[in-house]
Parts: sequence; C-alpha cells; structure tokens
Amino acid sequence: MTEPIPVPAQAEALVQATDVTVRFGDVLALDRFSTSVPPGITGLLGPNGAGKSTFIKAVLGLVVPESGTIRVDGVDPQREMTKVRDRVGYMPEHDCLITSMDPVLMVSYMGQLSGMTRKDSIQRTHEVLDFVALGEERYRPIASYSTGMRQKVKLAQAIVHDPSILFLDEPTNGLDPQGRDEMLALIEKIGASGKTILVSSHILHEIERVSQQVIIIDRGRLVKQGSTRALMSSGEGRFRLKLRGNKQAIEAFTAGIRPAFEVVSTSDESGQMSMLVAGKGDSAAIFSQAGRAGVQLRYFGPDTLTLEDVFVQVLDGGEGRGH
Amino acid sequence: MRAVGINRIEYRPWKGRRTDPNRRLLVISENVLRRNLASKGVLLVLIVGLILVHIFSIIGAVFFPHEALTNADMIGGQAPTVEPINATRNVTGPLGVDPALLVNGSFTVVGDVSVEGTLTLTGALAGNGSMVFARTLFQMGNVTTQGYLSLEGTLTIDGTIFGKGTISGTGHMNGTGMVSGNVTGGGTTTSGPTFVGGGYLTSGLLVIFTMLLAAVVCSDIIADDMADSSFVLYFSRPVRTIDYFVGKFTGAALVMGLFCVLPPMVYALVMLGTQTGSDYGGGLVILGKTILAGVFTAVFFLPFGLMVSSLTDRKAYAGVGIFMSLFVLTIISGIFSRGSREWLLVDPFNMVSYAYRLLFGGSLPSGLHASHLAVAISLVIVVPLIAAYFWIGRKGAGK
Repeated sequence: MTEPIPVPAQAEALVQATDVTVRFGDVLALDRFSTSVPPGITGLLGPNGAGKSTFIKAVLGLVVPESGTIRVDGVDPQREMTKVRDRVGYMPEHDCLITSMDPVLMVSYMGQLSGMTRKDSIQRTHEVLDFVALGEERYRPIASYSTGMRQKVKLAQAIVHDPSILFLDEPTNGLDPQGRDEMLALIEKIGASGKTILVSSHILHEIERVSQQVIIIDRGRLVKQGSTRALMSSGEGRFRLKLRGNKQAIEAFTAGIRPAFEVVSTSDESGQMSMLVAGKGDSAAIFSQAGRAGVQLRYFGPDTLTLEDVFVQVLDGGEGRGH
Repeated sequence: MRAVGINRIEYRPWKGRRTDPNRRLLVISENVLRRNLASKGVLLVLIVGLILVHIFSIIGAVFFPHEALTNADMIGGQAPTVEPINATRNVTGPLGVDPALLVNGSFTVVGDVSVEGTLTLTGALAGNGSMVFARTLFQMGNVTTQGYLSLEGTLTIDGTIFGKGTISGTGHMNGTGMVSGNVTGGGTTTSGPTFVGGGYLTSGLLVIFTMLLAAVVCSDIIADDMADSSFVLYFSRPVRTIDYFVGKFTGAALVMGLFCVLPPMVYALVMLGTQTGSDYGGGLVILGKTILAGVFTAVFFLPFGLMVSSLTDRKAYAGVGIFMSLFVLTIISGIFSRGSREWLLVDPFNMVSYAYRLLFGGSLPSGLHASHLAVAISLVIVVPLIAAYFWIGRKGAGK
C-alpha cells in the first residue's frame, strides 16, 4: 500500500480534509482522503466513481465519514451543520430544480432557506439572475427550460446567498460550446471575487482554463494536488524550440548543444524544425549555439503539458494506487 | 451572445443579515401554504367543501332560533336522561326532539318489542337472547320492518332507528342511537347523548371533504420533490430532515386548518352571537372544544398523506393512493366489525367521529374502549409519520 500523497499545508484554506474515509456498504468511496482547498478556483478531477461527489457531500455534511476530520473554515460540518451550510453554495450535477416554480420563485425560496429575508431574497434573486443572464424567461416555469437555462438557474440558486465556498459539480454538463463558454466565464467572474470554488468536471480543458489549483482523485484517494501551472509544466530542464535554417546548420546546432542537452524529439513542420530538448544546461548556451550555427531560433520556452496529459500520466502512472 | 433585455452585471456580494436557522422550517411551511392556495385542485375542494359543509350550517345558525351553543349542536344528541316508559310515546316532531326516544348504551328489553308499521335502523343491530321478527325485512346495517318487531333479551343499537310504528317492551331500554316512533314499555329508558350524525361536525361530509382535501394537499407535497430530485437543494442548505418534515407538515396543516378549524370556529361564534339565552360560559367551552376538534381533524389525515406522498414521485398516484387507502380501511372495518366490534376502530371515519364523541362529553358505542381508540388514532398518526420521516431521510442523502 502506498503512502498518502502529502498535502501542502495551506493555512488560508477554507476547506480541509484529513484522512477522511467514507464507506457505502462494501464500497469504499473515500479512502483516507486528505486535501485542502485554497481560495480561488480549484478543479476536482477524477474518473467516474472516483469519490468527487462523495467528498463534496461529506463537506456539506450529507454523508457521515467513518473516520477522519473535515473542517470548513474551522467548523466541523457534522457538528455545526447550519453554520457550514450557510457559508456553502452547491450546484449539483443532476437535475434538482423545482420544475413547477419559475426561477424567481425558486431562487428566492432557496435564498430564504439560506437565511435571507423575503425582501432581501427577491432583490438578490433578480441580481443573480441578471448575473447569469436570464432575461424575461425568468417568469416561466422551469419545466419549460432548456438544459442551458437550467444550468444557469442551478448556478443562480447556488450563489444567491453569497456563499464564501462554492461547490460546482459538473457545471457545464449538457451545454453546447457557447453555453460552456458562458458558464466558464461566469465561474471566472465569481472566482475573481475571492471565493473558494471547487469545480468538479470531466472536461479537463475547462478546468485548465479556469482553475488555479487542481486536485486529482482516484478510487477515493488523493493522487495529485498542486497549482495548475506547476502540474502542467513537465518539469525543469525541458524546453521546446522552433528553428529555421538549412539542414547542415541545424545539424551543427544539434551537435553543439548535445553536451548540455539531450534532444528528445524533432519534427519538421513546413520548413520549420520543432525540437524538444532536455537537460540542465543554461538557456544562454542554446542562444549562443544558435548564433554560432547560423540558425534562426524563432521560439524558445519551457515545455508544457495539457491537463489531460497530466491526468492520464497520473492515473496511468499509478500514483496513489496500490490500495 | 447576450440575453435580450439583460445587461450583464459583475458578481456582487450580499451584505445582509441572516435569519435564525431554527426558523427556516417556517419558510418551507409558507411555501407549502402559498403553493396550495395557488393550486386549482385545492381551491376547488376548498370552495365546494366550504359551501356544502360549512356555509349552509353557518347560515342556519343565523336564522334558526336557539337558546345556547350546546354539544348537541356540534355532534347531535342530547344530555342523558332516565325516565320510565309506562305508556306509549309517540314522536311526531323531528328526530331527537323527545329525549325518551333517544337511547344510549345497552338497550335491554324484557318482554316484547313490537313495531307496527316501519322500523328503519341505520347502524349495527345486535341482540342477546331471542329476537323474533314477524313480518319484517332484516338487513345488517339498515333494518326496515314492515309490521312489528318482537324481541326478548338485549338490543344494542349503534345507529339511528326511524320508527313509524310502535316499539313496545317491558324492561329497560339502553341504547346508542335514536328511535323515532312509538315506544311502549314498563321499565325505563336511559337516553344519553346520541351521536347520530346530525351535528355540525358529525354530518359525515366534513370528514369526507377533509379526507379529500388531505389527499389533494399531500399528493405533491413530497412526491414533487422526489420527482425533481430537489431534496438535495434543501439538504445542502441549513435544513435538517426534521426541519423539512415539520415544515411540510405545518404548511399542509395550515391549509387543512382553513377548512377544518376556521369555519367550525366561525360557526360556533355565530351560534354564540345569535343565541337567545344568556349562558355564554358553556358556549365558550364548546368553542374551545370545537377548535380542538378542528385541529385534530386538520392533522389526523396528514401523516398518512405524507407517507403515501413519500412513496411515489407521481402526484396523481399519491393523491388517489391516499384517498383510496383510507377507503380501503373503511371497507376492511365494515367487513370485520361484524365479527368483532373492535374493527370499527380501523375505520378512519369512525376514529374521527368517536374522538368527537369523547371530546364533547359523550360515550363510545358499547364494546369499544377509549384506550383502544387512543391506540388506533396513535397508530394512524405515529406510524406513518415515522415511516415518512425515515424514508425522506434516506432520500435526502441520495443522489
């Protein structure tokens, strides 16, 4: 059995879980899961059945952990459920809206359940419906809504009481590309207000776009956590180059950098050579060698991966597995 | 693309103060009340029920002179009296006019009882000893005699006897029910409060419409949340299962109260306001009892309704299920009470009716005990409540 992945200490994290185990009968949904969710937008990634929704429910106090501790802004959700839930907004993955109501009625009802007065909730409801760009159709029963409009109402009900922590479970589910774009823009705007937002999604490039942090979970265990940028960088000493020059010059350049760098791959793209190199040499050596060899160095930068690459690597690499 | 007519705004924080978490269940109650008062089905049952059950009675209270508000106004019957029957008595007025003809308890006749003419009995008829019917047509429940009825032993009447002939006997007449006709005897008649459905609360229509209203109100109260999977929206907020449950129950009870509590209260107040006598103290006590009876009626059917509603996500199934389930209990009671009178307590109609009797100072039909009634009522209320509560708790932590 592998040791749990160390979770970086984050004093400002509003959500902290330590060795949380949740079991449904014989199924181990969370297995000594530890993480901390810092302010900003954090992506929660994992395959189906990895334990993402279970973690969110455990934080909300909807499921009781067998062991371990969860703190939301220092408060135990099992003991002080009302305190926690007043600070949390939740956008569930599945259909959950009260379809016989119109959004104004439903969102303001949810606002009142979260402690707003009737007057405040109605005013705030119109504000958040404006924010999610739901127009005059807000007076139509939700039953008549498209998936995209329903997703907007789900987001509106999650933010109506201005929670400091927001859980968004597959917020772009069922949306067309334009709808996804709009939803991600809304999430980015909410994130800009300094809230702690945990976005669970299967669509990795969306997470890549909006999240500053990423938590990868598999089979109930944390397998990777860190800043999105750090995870996507393939590691120190890997650089991508784009060169233009004749064959001899490029061969001379390659030979010149070899003592310090290993050429991992090359490809010829319409007369332009792309090259991936790895090594601990100084970047200045590359520039000077390019000058000496007479090639144009048209691009030089650290090699980066997509979040999907990271995800596949992490899961295929078996990190966090073995239990 | 922007929605027409909407100027998108940036996210703005909310700076208001939150209400007490313990009062959130009232938000649920208010929502249930508002939704039901906007529901065509509920409004239809409410309006028709108000007209048929309450409005006519209230108008009657205004126009028919009365000395005071009495128990009999609410549930029919009169105070117990004991008097000898030495001669034939003849009833020519409305039922219940002659106390001698109102019998409560066991009706014992030593000698003959005969009916010349027609005897109609609504309710159960039981006799110990020999019963001789000559030229009679006998039915369980309703008995109609063409001719005369002779009886030796005990006759227990739990219903109403409309006699157009003569009942004659020597001994004591103790019965629950009402006799209208000629009674001849050599003993005494003990006539207690008789509860024959003639009172405002015991007309039968009140319970039927209450049941109907409960079915309509409860049909979507939980079923809709199940169909929409919206439990999660409640339980991701500071709402516990008990808050959700109590909130829904209270909201439904408020709707029921509009039919079961308010109109009887108005009726009692109108009776008090238009009485010719000066005894207002007794009337106020009856007003209090009326409110209690109304509250009991309002909440009696709800646990059952909530339970059925929590078992299905189709509100039509829930509505029909609630109404039919209660009727099935009535049918079961009707079948098995022929063997054992305790089965009468399975019938929700009887439970309500008998509870009224006890509340307004009357007695139960012979063979039934108040403790058994209490157990039956508790079962009808508590068991469905517990079942619905735990079912909702399981659903709440669902998807």
